[in-house]
Amino acid sequence: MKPTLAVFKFASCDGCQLSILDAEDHLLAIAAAVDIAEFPEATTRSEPGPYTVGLVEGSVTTPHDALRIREIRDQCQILVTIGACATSGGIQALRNAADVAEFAAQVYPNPEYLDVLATSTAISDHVQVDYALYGCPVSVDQLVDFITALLAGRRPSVPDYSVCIECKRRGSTCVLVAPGMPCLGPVTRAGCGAICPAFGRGCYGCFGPSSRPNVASLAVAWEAAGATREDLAEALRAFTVGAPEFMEAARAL
Amino acid sequence: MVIPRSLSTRVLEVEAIGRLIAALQEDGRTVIAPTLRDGAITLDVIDSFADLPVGLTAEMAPGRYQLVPDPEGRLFGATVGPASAKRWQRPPEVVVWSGRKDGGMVARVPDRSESQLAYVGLRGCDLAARRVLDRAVGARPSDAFIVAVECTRPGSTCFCVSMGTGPGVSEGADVVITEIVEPAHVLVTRALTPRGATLLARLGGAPPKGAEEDAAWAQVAAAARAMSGGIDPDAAAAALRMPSADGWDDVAARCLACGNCTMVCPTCFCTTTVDHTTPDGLEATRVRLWDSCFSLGFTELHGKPVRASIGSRYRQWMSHKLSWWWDQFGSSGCVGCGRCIVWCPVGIDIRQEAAAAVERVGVHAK
Ligand code: SF4
Ligand code: SF4
Ligand code: SF4
Repeated sequence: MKPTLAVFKFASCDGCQLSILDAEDHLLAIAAAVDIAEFPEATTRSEPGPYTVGLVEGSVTTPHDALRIREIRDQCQILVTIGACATSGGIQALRNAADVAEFAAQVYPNPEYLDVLATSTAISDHVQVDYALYGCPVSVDQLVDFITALLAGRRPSVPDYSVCIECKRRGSTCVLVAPGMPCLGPVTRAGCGAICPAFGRGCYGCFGPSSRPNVASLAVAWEAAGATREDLAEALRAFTVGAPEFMEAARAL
Repeated sequence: MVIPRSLSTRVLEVEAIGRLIAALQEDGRTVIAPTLRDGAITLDVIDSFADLPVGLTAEMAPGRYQLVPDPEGRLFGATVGPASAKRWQRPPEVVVWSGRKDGGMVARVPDRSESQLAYVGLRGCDLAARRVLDRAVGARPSDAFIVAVECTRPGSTCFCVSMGTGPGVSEGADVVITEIVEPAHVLVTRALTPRGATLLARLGGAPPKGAEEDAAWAQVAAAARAMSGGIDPDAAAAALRMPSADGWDDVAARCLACGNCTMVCPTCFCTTTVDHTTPDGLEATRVRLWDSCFSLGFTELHGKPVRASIGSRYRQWMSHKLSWWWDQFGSSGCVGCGRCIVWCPVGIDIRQEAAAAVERVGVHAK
């Protein structure tokens, strides 16, 4: 019997699911190797569990989400979080340091119909997660590589090092050193292939913190590049603001 | 084989570099030379003379790089840029082998494509780095053709003199150029190998009259005298083998553990290996990628990092470069090119960190 793959959506923009669809040729080959039991962005087909692999996009933002992720965990042999929302709470975790009721009042005419949690949290804050793929959105290549690794029974390789490593492998000139432009690369996890510096702009931190990032020291480099500590705090409060390393570092700046 | 100076030294007009590039290309070589790319003068493939950064140089300082005009209009005004010959000698990404389940395994032989290259503009430190890197990875030197350039205006981050690798060049290249602007803007050029002499013979040029050659010698010697500081290799090697793990907190507070220093270093050779398979499970590829001792994951043994703190990783890197490398490979692992100083986003300077380590343990050689 083929392994089953299920994709689940929580609070998110669907961009990571779209990335899976972007895999195009690979996707057909993957669809031939696994049975896609659930994938809301692609099909209305929905098969009951249990599933071999569950890919979870999105963060937990409602009481219902918090219950649903437990049920999904029970149904999945291997649970994988994909993207910034699932791994760190996403851009919507900005509310973790603010008042969600105030946000809701500004956006909705009748906020009383909402039933939301005060925070947006990562899936791993609720259930045990077996693997995490980072990024806003996830990298298609990394995702395909990850699935093929599971299929082949080899250990998936997910880098923990900085974007700078990919930036230098690629041969880009460092934008932080040469023109002196703010870049989050030294504290951000690799995985995107260092796209932004290759196009002459600083890293935005889409893949969240690299392992044990030294944000305090990066602040000095940003200041040398003409940016302020507030600019750095602001930059950290983005797609992966909910990652504790970034949240705390931004607070300390 | 010793080439008699009189036969092999030529004074070439600046434009002769165009003919030199063309001659190397006629021999089937791809030419790698300093060129302007993404806001820096760095080594890359060039097509012709027009790709050289004529009249442009760079000012470098710890964590700082800035292009500036070169009023003297030199071809090789800038010293070393972010890319070193390591990019071709030991490329950032290499397929080690690939195989198909039904077709058997295709092992790729170690990549020797560097032998098809010609480098124009490597410096003394670069040549030393090539030897150090080949020795470290156990590779035979490739057949790449090398036209080296002696430095007459080293940057503030250069310290080849203290490491004994420059600014003059006496080995490791086929042809050596000294670009002088006084008494005239010419290239004083000499061959160090028979194939270098053959190439020079194809370019014409006049034998030196004396003044140019004297000026070349004098300017390289003056550059060497002007280069201050650097590292005392013996003291650093001794200090860094002291078993104390104390004293690394200061650099640890500044170091981002980003790995840029190791990526730009022309001798750092660490790699990681990743496998790829196709979804149908029929094809597998193994790839070797540049990696860095600064990343936490790199230090994992059985799933746990053995150098958890940034200080311990910086210490590992520097003591390997300046101390244990001698035991392992019979030389220093640092050639004094200064790339790690310039391209460190926070400007950590190996010269200062080495001096601090020497200071801490009170080792003073000589
Ligand atoms: S441009 Fe950014 S990511 Fe690239 S090496 Fe510089 S700091 Fe690192
Ligand atoms: S350690 Fe730094 S100065 Fe020494 S060879 Fe490497 S990059 Fe150059
Ligand atoms: S010394 Fe500089 S370049 Fe090297 S890892 Fe530390 S911060 Fe990065």
